[in-house]
Amino acid sequence: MLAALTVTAFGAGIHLPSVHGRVEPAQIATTAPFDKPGLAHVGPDRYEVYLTGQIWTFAPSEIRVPAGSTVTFVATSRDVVHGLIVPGANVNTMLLPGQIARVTVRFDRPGEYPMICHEYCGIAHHTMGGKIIVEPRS
Amino acid sequence: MATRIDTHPHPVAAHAEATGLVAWLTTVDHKRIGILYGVTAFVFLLVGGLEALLIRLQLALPHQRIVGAEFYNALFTMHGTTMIFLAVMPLNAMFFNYMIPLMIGARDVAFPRLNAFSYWVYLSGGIFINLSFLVGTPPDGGWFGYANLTTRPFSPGPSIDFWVIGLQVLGVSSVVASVNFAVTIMNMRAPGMTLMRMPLFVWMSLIVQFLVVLAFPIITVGLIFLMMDRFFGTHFFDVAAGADLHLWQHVFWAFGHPEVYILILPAFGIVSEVIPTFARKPLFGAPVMIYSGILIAFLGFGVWSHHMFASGMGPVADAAFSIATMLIAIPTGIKIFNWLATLWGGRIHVTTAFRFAAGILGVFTIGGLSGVMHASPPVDLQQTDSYFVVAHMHYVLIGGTLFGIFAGLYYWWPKMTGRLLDERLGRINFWTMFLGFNVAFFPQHFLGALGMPRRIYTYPADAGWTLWNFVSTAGAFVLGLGVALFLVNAALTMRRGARAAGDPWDGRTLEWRTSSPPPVHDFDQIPPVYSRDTFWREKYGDRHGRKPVPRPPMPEPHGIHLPAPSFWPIVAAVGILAAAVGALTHLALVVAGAAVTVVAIFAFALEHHGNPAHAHQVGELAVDHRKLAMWTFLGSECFFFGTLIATYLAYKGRNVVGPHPHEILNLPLTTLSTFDLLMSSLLMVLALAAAQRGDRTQTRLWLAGTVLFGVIFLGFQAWEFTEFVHEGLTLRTNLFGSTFFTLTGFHGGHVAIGVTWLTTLLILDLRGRLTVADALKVEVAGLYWHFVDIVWIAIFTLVYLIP
Repeated sequence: MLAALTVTAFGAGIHLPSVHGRVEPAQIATTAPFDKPGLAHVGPDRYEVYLTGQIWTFAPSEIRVPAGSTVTFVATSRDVVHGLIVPGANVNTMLLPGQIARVTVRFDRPGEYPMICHEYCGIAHHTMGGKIIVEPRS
Repeated sequence: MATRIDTHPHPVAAHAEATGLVAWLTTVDHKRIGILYGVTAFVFLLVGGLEALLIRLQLALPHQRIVGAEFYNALFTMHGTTMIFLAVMPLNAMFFNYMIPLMIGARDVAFPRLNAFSYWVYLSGGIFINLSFLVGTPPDGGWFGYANLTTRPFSPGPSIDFWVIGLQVLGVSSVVASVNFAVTIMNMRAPGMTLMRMPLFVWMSLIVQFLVVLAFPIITVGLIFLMMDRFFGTHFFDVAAGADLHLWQHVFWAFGHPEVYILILPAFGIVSEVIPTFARKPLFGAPVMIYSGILIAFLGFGVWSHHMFASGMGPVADAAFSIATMLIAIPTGIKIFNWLATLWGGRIHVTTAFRFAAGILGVFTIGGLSGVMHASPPVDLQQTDSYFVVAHMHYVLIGGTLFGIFAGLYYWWPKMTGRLLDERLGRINFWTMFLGFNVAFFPQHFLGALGMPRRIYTYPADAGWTLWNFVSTAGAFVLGLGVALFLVNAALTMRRGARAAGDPWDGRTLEWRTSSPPPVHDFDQIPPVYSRDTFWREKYGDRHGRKPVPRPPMPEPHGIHLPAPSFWPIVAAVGILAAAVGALTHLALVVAGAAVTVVAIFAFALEHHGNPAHAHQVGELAVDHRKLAMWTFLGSECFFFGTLIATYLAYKGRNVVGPHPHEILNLPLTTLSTFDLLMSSLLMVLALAAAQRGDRTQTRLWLAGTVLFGVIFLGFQAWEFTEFVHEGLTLRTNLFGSTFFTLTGFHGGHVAIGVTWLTTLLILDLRGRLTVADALKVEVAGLYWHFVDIVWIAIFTLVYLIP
């Protein structure tokens, strides 16, 4: 049981989401790094995405990174509880207002990955999504 | 065998029970209440099923517009809420009501009128929630109602109000019923039926009653928080005021996971009855089955956070809840293997009831295995909120619970109606449901793996989800057809079906020892109990064929006393319904409804006061029913106040604005009021001692003293509250205000109820109507009073003494 847990956790490189600080939802627009949602190049092949969820969009809604990049999502919600799942890429976290979630993932295969809000958030919940475009290295 | 039916003190016709509408509205017969539960719950099962079919139609193909997005959200919210609270739990309650007294050799439940009250409150709650459809604002926050989506700023209309109030009404029904059945099972077993001789269904039911009693107060507190946020402007789920939204998720799932076992354990009990009967073998490892049921319930309270792995609790909490969740698979697996071992070498008689029970062994196990997968956080993170979870949960709740209920229906139908269901139609019924169920839900595993999230209104054509969604919808309609076939079977056999003998299946337990349907008094003689499977032993002897020596019938010096019908249960329930409707319309209606309920409760309580037949209700545990019920209820109260106190502590120091506790709490004053309340407990002890020795003057004196000290405490509290409001602290000021007033306010409410109760006893005493025989009533009120005092010690320490 524990062995299975260890293998899946470390062997498969899956990391549990955990809280990395708090942010006042009313002041997100003026609080770094969420005042400028988007992609930041933080090192060789390393990126950080400052992402907010709000009824019913992600900001940013489209992210482009080259294949082989390691991307850290630093994410929170501006209003209600949202979720962020990237099928096929080990990203699955809840976005709670007031709380910053942090997930790191490496994109090796080029292609288009959907970002989906998977926590029910109201009438247009099904439309809340975005995409990550992993571009082949030239 | 002549049966002496004593009509004193209530003239009840023992052989011909009264018929007609009024007789049903006022009935307190556990069998009739069981039928009322069954019929009502089946109607709600059809409503929930219709909602499910609409959901499946909408999802059958991409870009469908069969219903609107808002209505779709209401459909999945109401489907979950209806199936869990209005269909499955009450269908289980049907079996508890009808079967438990028969299986333990009793003539009714411990509190027949409370039993009727539970049913009418359940009906009121069900009607109330569904009224939302008529006014066009059905709840649409999900059955899990995650705050803060369900708070007023994000769900402004009345939709969530219907949900939050309706569930509280249903909670009252569930807790009252569970206290009643816990006492019935513990205290009303026929002589010789020791705990370990109880049938497995009764055992699993007993465990469920404790789960309900302990888990429901947790969600009740959560619903109270949400209701207060919505109606009174508190800040429990207001992030800007410093709230942490984990609170709702913890409170909801700390209830929600035990709820899973509340739904499934009765089905386990039914399977444990059906399989031995039709394998004609005793249940393999019955004591282990009992222990594993207890273990499931115990562990069931320690696994709730596996619903929250994605919420960011951190690796330590994730690991702890993960291990607890994996452990719970062990007792569950034991059950599966014991059922298989029971079948091994049995002379199996394949009936429809047997098919449903055997079906569970296959399909529930699939649901169990996908459940263990979720127990591992890394795996769970691939599946959370995907259709994989939808598949898992329906494998457990349909493949386990609903199939269990159908096994029970086919098994006990002849006992309840006196007619056998058609077995050929039953076979078609089973296979249609089995096929439809698997076609509907197995593909949802694939959909989850393909990344389809839950609770989406529609999906794009290029997502690759179309094929399996279409298959799933087709399966859902076959499953629906299967449920309809049961109705056809019931309708066809109701009038023209073969008459059932008392023991049509060659059963093993006591319910088969009386006629089908049983007489109103259940048993002419309280049956003898020789062992587990006692009726089988009576018929066939032990494994050497030695039959027990027949015992002389139990002497019943007072004859058979049957409870008299009463109007007050339904009146109290109507009052509650009116108050709930009033909460959404007009305050006057709340007041009127509450007044009706209070009057009904008093009338109810005093209806049989002084009736010698009600004076002694001592049962198997040598404790009076009422005392046992109070102890059970106080268990529930512990969880109620525990949740309130835990919330206070969790929110301590998270205020965004003042005033803060240390600036405002008046320690000397509260020390004085605490001393006053503790002294009242002393007076209560004196009052009880006086009542027990029949000293009327002293009883009166000390009861009056207790009431006075209680009133003084309330006076202190009123003064404290007024002071705080003057200093700028209200419910709406900050988190401290919200949690402080809610916690101490509910405690004050309890003190006020205690004062009212003791005052009632005092008035009875003054009018000369409190005799030595009523000392128990003083004792039960005293238990409540002491408990409320002890809670105050906890509150005083944690809120006032520890800064």
